[in-house]
Amino acid sequence: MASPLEQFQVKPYVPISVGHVDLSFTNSALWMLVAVAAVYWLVMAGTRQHALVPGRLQSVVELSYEFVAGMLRDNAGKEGMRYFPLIFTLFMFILMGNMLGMIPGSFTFTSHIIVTFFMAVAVFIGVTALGIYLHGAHFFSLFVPKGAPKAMLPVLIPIEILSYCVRPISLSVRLFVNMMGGHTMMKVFAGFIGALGAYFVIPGIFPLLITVALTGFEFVVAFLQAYIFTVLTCIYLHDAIHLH
Amino acid sequence: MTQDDRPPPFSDFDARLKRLRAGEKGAADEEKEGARSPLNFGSGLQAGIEMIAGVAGGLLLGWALDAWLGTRPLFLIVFFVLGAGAGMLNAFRSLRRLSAEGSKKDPDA
Repeated sequence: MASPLEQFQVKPYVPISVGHVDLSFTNSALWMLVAVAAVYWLVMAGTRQHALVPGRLQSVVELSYEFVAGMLRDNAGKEGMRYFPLIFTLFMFILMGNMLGMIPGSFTFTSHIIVTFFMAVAVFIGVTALGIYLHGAHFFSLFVPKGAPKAMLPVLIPIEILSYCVRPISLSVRLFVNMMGGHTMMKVFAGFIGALGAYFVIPGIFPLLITVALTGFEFVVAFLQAYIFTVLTCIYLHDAIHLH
Repeated sequence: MTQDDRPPPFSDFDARLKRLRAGEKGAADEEKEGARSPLNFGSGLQAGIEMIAGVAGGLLLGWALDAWLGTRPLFLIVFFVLGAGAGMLNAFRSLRRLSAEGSKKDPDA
């Protein structure tokens, strides 16, 4: 029987290596391209008609736009709307990656820490650079807690700096853990169906029922984790623009 | 009412939309009255990840500094404590944000 972790294996399709760096085109890269193509097709096909009363596809695109725009306005304020293209791209890419991962036999690239960590570090560096660009040295007042007694500052400032610097870790680990954990659990329970059902057909139904429930649950997680990643990016953006 | 196939005029569209939206919001607020705490299992998991990230980040930084400066285990201990503090701070902020978000309003409901 296949291992439940086999689904996470990165397989090179076109081996490419530059010097000692392995740049092979893998199944992970393939599904990222598929995700980008799917989002591109969705938005392009959805906005082709400009109907006053939107059709199905146009509704999906309009809903996604309003959802992300509302999220950005609520969490980063009006000034945050300038960065809408970035946030929308991020949300659609992660959402599409998570959703494509629900297709049996496909590859979930968001279940790899290196992918989510790279996205989180990119967000972190971008937001920090933006904060320094907007506020100059004043940006570092973000690390001085307001209303704290002076004597406590030598302890509080390192804690604040550290809590700022571990943001990419928690941001990436959250997405990766949820995607990997959920997919592993689904495979484990699906494996029980065969293992149990081969001998006793009736008890084999129970893991099947659980797998059905887990599949639904995974769709919720796929959406929710894309939402959480994006919402936290908006909040970090808010910190960089408004300094609390 | 007479049968009329023409769509309703657009002149009062804004007013009608505003009225509908207000009604929707009112209904949602009333429903929220009996709602439970906005925190759930997921928020606990989030807070846990924040804390672990804080400790792990602190440990990693301390270990790297020690390896670089050869002061093992000084920075490992210092940054473990600071990282734990940072993790708790992040967990606290995340929980506060989640509970404020839940009790204020549902943005997409």
